[in-house]
Amino acid sequence: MRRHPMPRPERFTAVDLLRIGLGVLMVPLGVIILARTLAIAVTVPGILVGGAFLAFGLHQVWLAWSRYRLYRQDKEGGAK
Amino acid sequence: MSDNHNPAAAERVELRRDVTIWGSYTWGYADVGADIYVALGLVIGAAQGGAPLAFALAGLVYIMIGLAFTELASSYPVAGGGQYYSLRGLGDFAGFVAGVALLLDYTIDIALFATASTGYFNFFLPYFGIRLQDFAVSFGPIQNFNLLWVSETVIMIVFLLWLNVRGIRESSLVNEIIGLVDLILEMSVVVFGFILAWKPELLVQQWRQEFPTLSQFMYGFSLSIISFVGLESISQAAQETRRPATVIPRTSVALIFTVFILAVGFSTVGLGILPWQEFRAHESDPIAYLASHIPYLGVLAGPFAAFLGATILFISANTGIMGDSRLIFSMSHFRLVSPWFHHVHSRYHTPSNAIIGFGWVGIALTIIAFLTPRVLDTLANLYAFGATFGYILVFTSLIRLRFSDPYTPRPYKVPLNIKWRRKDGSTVEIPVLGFLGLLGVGSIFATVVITHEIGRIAGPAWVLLCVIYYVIFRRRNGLPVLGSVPRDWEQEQMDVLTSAEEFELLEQYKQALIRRDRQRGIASRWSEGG
Repeated sequence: MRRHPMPRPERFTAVDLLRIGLGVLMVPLGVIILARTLAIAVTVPGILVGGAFLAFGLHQVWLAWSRYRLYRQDKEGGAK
Repeated sequence: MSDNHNPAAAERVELRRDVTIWGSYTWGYADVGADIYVALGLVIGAAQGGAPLAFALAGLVYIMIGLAFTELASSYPVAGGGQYYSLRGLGDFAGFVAGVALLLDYTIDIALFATASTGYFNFFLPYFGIRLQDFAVSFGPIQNFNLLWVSETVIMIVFLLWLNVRGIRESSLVNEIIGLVDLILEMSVVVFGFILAWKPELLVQQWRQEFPTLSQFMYGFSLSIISFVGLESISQAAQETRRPATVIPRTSVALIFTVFILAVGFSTVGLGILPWQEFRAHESDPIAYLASHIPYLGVLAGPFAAFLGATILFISANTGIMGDSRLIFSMSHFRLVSPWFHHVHSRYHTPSNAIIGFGWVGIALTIIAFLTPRVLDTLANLYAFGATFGYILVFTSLIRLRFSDPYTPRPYKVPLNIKWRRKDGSTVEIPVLGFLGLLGVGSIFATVVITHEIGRIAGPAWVLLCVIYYVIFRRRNGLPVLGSVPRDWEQEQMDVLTSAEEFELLEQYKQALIRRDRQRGIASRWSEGG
């Protein structure tokens, strides 16, 4: 229901860097938590936290990738 | 306290709108993110091996609360928060009751966070050869009344009161820096804890063998809501943000999910590093204690976490004083309490009556809490009562405002809505998530009342005393007790959107009102020349 879409990226910002860093960190961490916990037993906390980290990391990576694609589109559009 | 002063005519304090997207995020984080410093030890102490589940369940309710605040704060970007939404959606009496619940929370905020802040300072005492336990005294039924800790806390609150009366407050830049450093530290403790020290077998063993009884779990679950208190800062930030309708949805959704992930992450990493009993024994400095158990980094991370915890909790205690004074100021403006609270110090131009009045209540609460066996637990009990009570009214207002004010543009809406066409032709979107959230927060409130011995007596007693005051004040001033003073909310909304520079929304709002008036067959005062 967001009527104000995210502004199109004009340049690479510190927030983009943070987003990529968090994504790159959270995805393997989530996988490791899931794998290590499930190797012992199926428990709610392991699945919950591992899954949450993984989902959060993937979301951050997806967001960064979407912004990068928009940035490329704008750049190519501007060059033409 | 009767007088003829007309607060409606009093000068409306307008805050400067200079908070950026990042500033809005870190402001919220400095407020909500501080809660885990207090909640971790208390919740793990209560919910034991089931603490991650307690945090997760309360967190789900918190996400719904956060989304409700996001919708309301971006639609009504004014600082009053829950009190303003209730006043607008449900009328004067509900607005007063919501305000009272928030006042209780802000006052407990002062006591709880000042006590927790000095608790983290006390992490350093052993470095100077001082043992905190040596200052505990017992007399009669009072056991372990810690003279050093209570003195430190009272001195801190008095210092904060003095700062606030003088008009010194931390700048938005300080909030941004502390919020950022805190975010990095909390992330680091969780990430390095998982990488270097986490033992999943310990977590699984505690989950399976040390899962609490149902009543203990429910107690822990209801306490864990305190790790998510402070969402009022979203509305506070909304008042001081330029283009809040654009900024608030983005920052608050990010804030909500960061806090949720960290709360669940902390409890999971904690129970995979240490047994729950150790958290119970260190409930005054759990994050520092946990950080000090991370291999290689602990020797530095422990003291750093203690220092940062003390600092951020000090700021949170100050937020309580500022919140109290701003809220009572706003309630006075809407004629819910006496204009006496509107008094501004002749020299420093600050609301000194409100600051000192509620500051002393905070000090009294602190001393009373220290007389109980577990000071932080007692204060957390009251905090949970005030927070859940206030959130119930916020959800009710969210639902009510969808019906009573469908014309205000909502830049963000909570997901899951059912469209309903009314007889007058207007369409209302019924917020399903609002009802689910109301159910969730209602269940936490019921748990607080059932399981918290202090909260169920002191909380309602506070509300009742305030309601008695309200009845007397309104009667003496010839104002309706259960009814509302007539107000021009449409003009108010126009002014708010104009001040927020949300001109597109302003135009949408105006057009919606004109359409409504046309459907009703009346001349609109908002049309050109109307």
